[in-house]
Amino acid sequence: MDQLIAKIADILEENDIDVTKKFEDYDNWDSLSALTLIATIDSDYGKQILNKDIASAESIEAFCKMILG
Amino acid sequence: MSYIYRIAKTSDAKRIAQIHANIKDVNSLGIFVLMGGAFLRQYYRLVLSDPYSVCVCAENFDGRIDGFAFALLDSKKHHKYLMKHKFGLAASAIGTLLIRPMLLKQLFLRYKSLENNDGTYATQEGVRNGYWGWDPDHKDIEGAMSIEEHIFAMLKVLGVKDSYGEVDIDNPRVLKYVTKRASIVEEVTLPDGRRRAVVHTDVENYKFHILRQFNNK
Repeated sequence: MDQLIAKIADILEENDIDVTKKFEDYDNWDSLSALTLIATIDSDYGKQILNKDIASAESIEAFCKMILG
Repeated sequence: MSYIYRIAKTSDAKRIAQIHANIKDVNSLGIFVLMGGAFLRQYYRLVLSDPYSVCVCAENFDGRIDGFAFALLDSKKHHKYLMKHKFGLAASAIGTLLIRPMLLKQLFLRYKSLENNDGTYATQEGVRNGYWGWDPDHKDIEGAMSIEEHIFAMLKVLGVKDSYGEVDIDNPRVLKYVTKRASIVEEVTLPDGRRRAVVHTDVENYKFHILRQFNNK
């Protein structure tokens, strides 16, 4: 999970992120971040997600658990 | 929201230019946005009337275009087409140049590069990714991904295997997204000091996310 969290932190341009927070709690979270996250999950984890999957995640941690199964 | 995806026509130039201008927070480094609305409108009239360009747009059910993407099937012929219409393009820039004369040098460097077809600013031959944009006032993540995929689907149907484009390295957020779907083949420094990455898209094996029916089996 650490690897995925690091990728998310990179997208959010943060050194450390609080995984209990939601994506939209971060100032840098916008549509381009969402596009990059969807593309990252597709290219690095072979999973095709939609924006609603990100939006419905209760936290970044919950999102990571969903992706990593 | 559901969209109708269709081929963009010259009559769409005004709205497409408006979308391009609206995305200036992401593209503040580019001269096109700085050149203003009249220049952008004339530029897109040329893009949409060029026989070697393909442009797809996403229109909502009220008839408003929210996104577009274009590609050039032959960059060299596109450059020649722009040169053929250089006076119209120059005329559309006059208003902005009077207000921002410092842009003249940048524009002149672009013009000389285009005239010499030296590839300083843009891929000089072959298939080139054009601009891709979605109106930030009407955000739709899947729509934005879909419009990008539509242009690559169109290129694929037309038999294109490889496509090249450019991204400003000083725009790391855009570069981060682009390099998830394309690879950097070269880094160049422009005469104005900006660093630019030339990216390659493997159209033949492009992984479609939304338009899954185009994926290779």
